This record gives sequence, structure tokens and C-alpha cells, in this order.
Amino acid sequence: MSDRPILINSKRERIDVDELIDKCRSDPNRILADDEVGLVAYVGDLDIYTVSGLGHPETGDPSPDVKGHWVQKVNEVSLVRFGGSVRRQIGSVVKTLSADSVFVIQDKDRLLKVKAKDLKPGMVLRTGEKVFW
Amino acid sequence: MKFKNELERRIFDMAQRVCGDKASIEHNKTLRIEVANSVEVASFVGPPKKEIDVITAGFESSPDLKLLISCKDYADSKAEPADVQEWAAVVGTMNSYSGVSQYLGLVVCPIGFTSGCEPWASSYNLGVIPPLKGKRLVFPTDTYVEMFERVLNALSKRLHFPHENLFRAPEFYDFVYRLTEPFEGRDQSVKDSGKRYRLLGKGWVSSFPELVKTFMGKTVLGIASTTTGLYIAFSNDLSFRMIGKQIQFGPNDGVIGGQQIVIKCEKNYFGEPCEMGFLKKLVTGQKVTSAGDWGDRFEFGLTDDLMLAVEPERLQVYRTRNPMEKNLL
Repeated sequence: MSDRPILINSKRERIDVDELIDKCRSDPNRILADDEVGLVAYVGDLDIYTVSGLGHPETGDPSPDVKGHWVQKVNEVSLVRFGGSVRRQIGSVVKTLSADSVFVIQDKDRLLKVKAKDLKPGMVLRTGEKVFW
Repeated sequence: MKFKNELERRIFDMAQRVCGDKASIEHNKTLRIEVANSVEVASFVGPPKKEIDVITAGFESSPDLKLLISCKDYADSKAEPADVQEWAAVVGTMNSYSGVSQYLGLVVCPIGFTSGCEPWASSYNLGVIPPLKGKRLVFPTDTYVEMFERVLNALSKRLHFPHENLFRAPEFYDFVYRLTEPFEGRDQSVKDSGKRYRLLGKGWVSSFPELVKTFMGKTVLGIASTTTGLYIAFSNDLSFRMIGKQIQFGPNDGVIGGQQIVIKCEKNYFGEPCEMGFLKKLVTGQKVTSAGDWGDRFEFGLTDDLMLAVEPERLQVYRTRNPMEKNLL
């Protein structure tokens, strides 16, 4: 699910979010909120990072490594219980999708990235499946 | 104690509930500032003299940090950038002239903020309730009080750790945003599905996606029907219950309410009567592969191409393998 953050440690290794939260629970003060809307945990001193996107988090500069990414230190991890979701029929299957899940659409002779919330009937995925609704 | 409006009363009540006697309220307060050797009135003196209404929340974990809260109870107009700028000036002045105290600012305006407020709030590092980035800017009365409570409780815990970064823009604005933004999804879920989904134990509102995440890959262990509802036990000590039109799920507390009864059981797509034992034998031990909610009927797709449909007073099982007539149960 894309409403769960992708986290890495200082060695750039992927961190299991559930294991991290279990670790945080040993100190109740780390769990800033745990209620009907979700969970927020403080991890500012645990050397946790997230990929910040295409550019440097402050300057917007691209990573010096062509295939590399900038990473950004994470202070709080937020897990949302009600991430925006949409229902779509893609091919023969009706799916519940996170609204910001990305799909690759075949548009004439080019490929477009489209978020689930922006999928429209008639679009065809790169995999050949058609969006019906 | 007198309050200028209902918003102020509710916000102060909540501040008192979370911060105890470290919460205070002052009306028509002339801004006073701390300096090293004297106390003087800030340059907000007029004409007209600058007076503010302020709720202050303090925290035991960090006695020198105070949250200054401004309540804007506008009847039919959203807060403007000027409201945010005013509070930024107040908080900024307090910080500039303080001896030991440090101040963070929060503006609460239930009717919402105009879009121009966001750059001001983030660059001045003020928290705003309700959150600005959300699509929906107006929330029910109770929701903004819940947001405020969540922010205060979280800040109180956050102050047990190094928190200098909260004073650097836009860290505190982001902190408040992260804590308040998810309410939009919660309220939308309640609007879409009412109280159909509830988490067992905590009684929290839940959603279809959360139900799917919980049960995907889990194994059916047993089914019981009583005068109260239908109970299905799953592996990992999980329970699914259909009580009237409400679906309750989560950690199994072992409670099965009411007297055991026999309910209508059917097999195959067009619904031929069958024994509960027959149905149980088919589905027990199968894992959940999909789920669907049709309002008055909930369906679990199971391994072995089975579909288990659950209604308040009826269970149905059928095989989804084609051709249908050659795969009857």
C-alpha cells in the first residue's frame, strides 16, 4: 500500500515499518498518536531516512548519481488508517487502490504515469489491461 | 470563567484536559515581553493598543515551551492571511524578547483558511487547524476539537525528545499538518460507509480497505450463528462479525453473544438449501484471496475457487470455477 512510507536506514537498507513501530512501542512517549485516524511515532534519533523524490529536499538539485536518489531524515513516521482509496475495474478485476498508486498508461506512441485517482474509463495500461470505470 | 464564544470554550476545555493547570486563557491581554532585567509592553501599543485573546498551553515535559493558540470563530468567512500574519507577529515578538521561554503558535479556525494562508503559516512556522493542504477545508465541529486534542497530546510526548527543530520553519507547521491531515480520510470514510465497519476492542471506525488488509491470506477456522449475529473465526486470532448491518472485525476476544441458532445456508450461485455443516466443511481451512461488500451482503473469495457470502441471516457458498454447471457443489 502506498500510504505506508518507504523507509531506509543509514546503510540504505529497507526497513520494515511494522518492526520499526513495534520497536517504538517499547517507549510509550515515542508513540505520539495511536487512534482512530492512525499512528504517528517519533523516530528522529533512530537514523531513519526516506527517499525524498527527484530533487534535493531543499535545493531541488538532481542527485549526482544518475540512478541515485536523495534521502531525507525522518523525524516522525505517520501511518494513516484512512488513506484515500478508489475503486476501479481494470481488466476483469475490480480493485481497491490507494488514490496515489501510480499506473503506466499506453497513450498512442508514448507511456504516461497516471495516479489511480486519475484513471479514466477507456485508458489502457502498458500491460494491455483496459480501465472500465 | 467567561468565554467569548463556543469555539474558545471548547478549545480551552481541551487544553485544560491535556495540559491541566498549565493551560490558561487571557482576554484583551496587552502583549508583555520578557527581557533580561525588566518587563515591558511590546511595541504593539497603539493607537489602537494591541490586545489579544490567547489560550496558552504549557507542558510538564518542557516547562519553558508554551503553545500560543488563537481561536478565530468567524461565522461565514474563512480566516485570511492577515489573521495568520497577526499571530505570526505575536509569536515572533514573544520569542524575540523572551528570556527563557520559547513559543510556538497555532491558529484554529473551524470554518477554514483561504488558500493564501498556507505560505504565510508555513514560512512563519505556525500550525493551523483544520489543515490547509487537504481538499476539504470545513470539518464538523467535533472533528476540529479532536484535531486539537491530537496535536496537544502528540506535542506533549514529542517534547520528551530533542525538539529544537520544531522552531525551524516549517517544522511545526508540518508537525501539525501530519497530525491533522488524516482526519479528512476518516471523515470521508464515515460519510461513505457510515458506521458499517468497526474495529473490535477499540470500537474505532474502520473501512473496507483496512478489512481487506486484515484478512487477506488468513484462514477460515470456524463459523457460528447466534441470535446476535454471525461470527467467523480466522487464523492469527482474528474475528469477523456481522451484527445486523454492521461489520466488526479485529483481534478475537472470544465473545460470542446471544443464543446459538440455525440460519439459512445455501450452496451454488442460484442458492440451493444446504446444511451449515456442509458449508463449514467446505470453507474451513481455506484462505481469503479477495473480498467484496455489496451493502447488505459481504463476500470472501477463498482458495479452491470458493466464494463465501455472508448476510445477517443467511450464508451462501459457491464455486467460481467455469463452466458453472460443471462445478456445482
